[in-house]
Amino acid sequence: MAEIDRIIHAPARLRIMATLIALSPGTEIDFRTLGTALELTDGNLGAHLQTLEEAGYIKLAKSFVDRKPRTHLSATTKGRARFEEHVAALRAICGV
Amino acid sequence: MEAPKSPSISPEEARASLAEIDRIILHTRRTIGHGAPSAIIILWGFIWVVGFASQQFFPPFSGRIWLFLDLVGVPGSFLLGAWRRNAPVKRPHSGKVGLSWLILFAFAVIWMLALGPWDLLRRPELAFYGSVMNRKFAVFWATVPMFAYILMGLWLDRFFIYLGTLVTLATVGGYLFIHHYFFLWMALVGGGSLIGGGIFIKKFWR
Repeated sequence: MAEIDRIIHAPARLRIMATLIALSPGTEIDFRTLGTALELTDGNLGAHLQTLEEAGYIKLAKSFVDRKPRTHLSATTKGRARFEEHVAALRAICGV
Repeated sequence: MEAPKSPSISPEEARASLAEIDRIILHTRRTIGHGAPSAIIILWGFIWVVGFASQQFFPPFSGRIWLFLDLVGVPGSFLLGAWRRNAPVKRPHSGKVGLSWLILFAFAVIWMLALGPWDLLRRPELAFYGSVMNRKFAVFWATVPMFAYILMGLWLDRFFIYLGTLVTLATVGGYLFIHHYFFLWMALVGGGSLIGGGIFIKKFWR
């Protein structure tokens, strides 16, 4: 039976993962865009991303665009699987 | 790191989480659609307006006009897609999406060249304004990309299903019932729907 994932369940991380899951596999989103979309400060977003990265749910890729550092992130296969499991658990609780 | 699991949550909380997930997924997909797709749809809307209007009002020149418009539209669509590569979202398959459209376009061209009764169309009595054959080709060229929109709508957003279906129905309806002003109908209703759809995405998908 699917179980609630404590890491994903935190509201901000749930929103981060939902955003990344909405993108097709391998698609990366810019750090700043994600923060703006979810109305999270850089510090707050960074802390949540670190938790998700340490859990292996997301992957960070750093690059330079016009000599400025940019961070892109995407959901890993493991992250996608855990998210699906989390959603299945939520549905089971709701009886959907 | 292995995730600790199974906090207990109420059905209301679970329902709220599911609603939030749905909202964010829809918002994210629409934000993506807000970029290149909307600009490309608007571009083709204008191409339809000019191309079909030329078939209505300047039939002898419409073939060359359509050729020019396609030569602008196809690379223009690729440029708009490439422009978005510097966008906040980087897609590994964006090249494949463009390639899929190019293959579809080539597929339609090949079938039109293979199946078109070109020898018949060379006869003066068939080459007149508003001929059935020209209208059939117009229906073909209008509905092929709309079918692709409908397919796109299955994985991106239902809006594309509505837009593709609307334009397809308008095209078939015009073909069946509006004979003499069919191309004008396509310019205004077909092209107008694409422009309107693109503007709608640009305005509301943020």
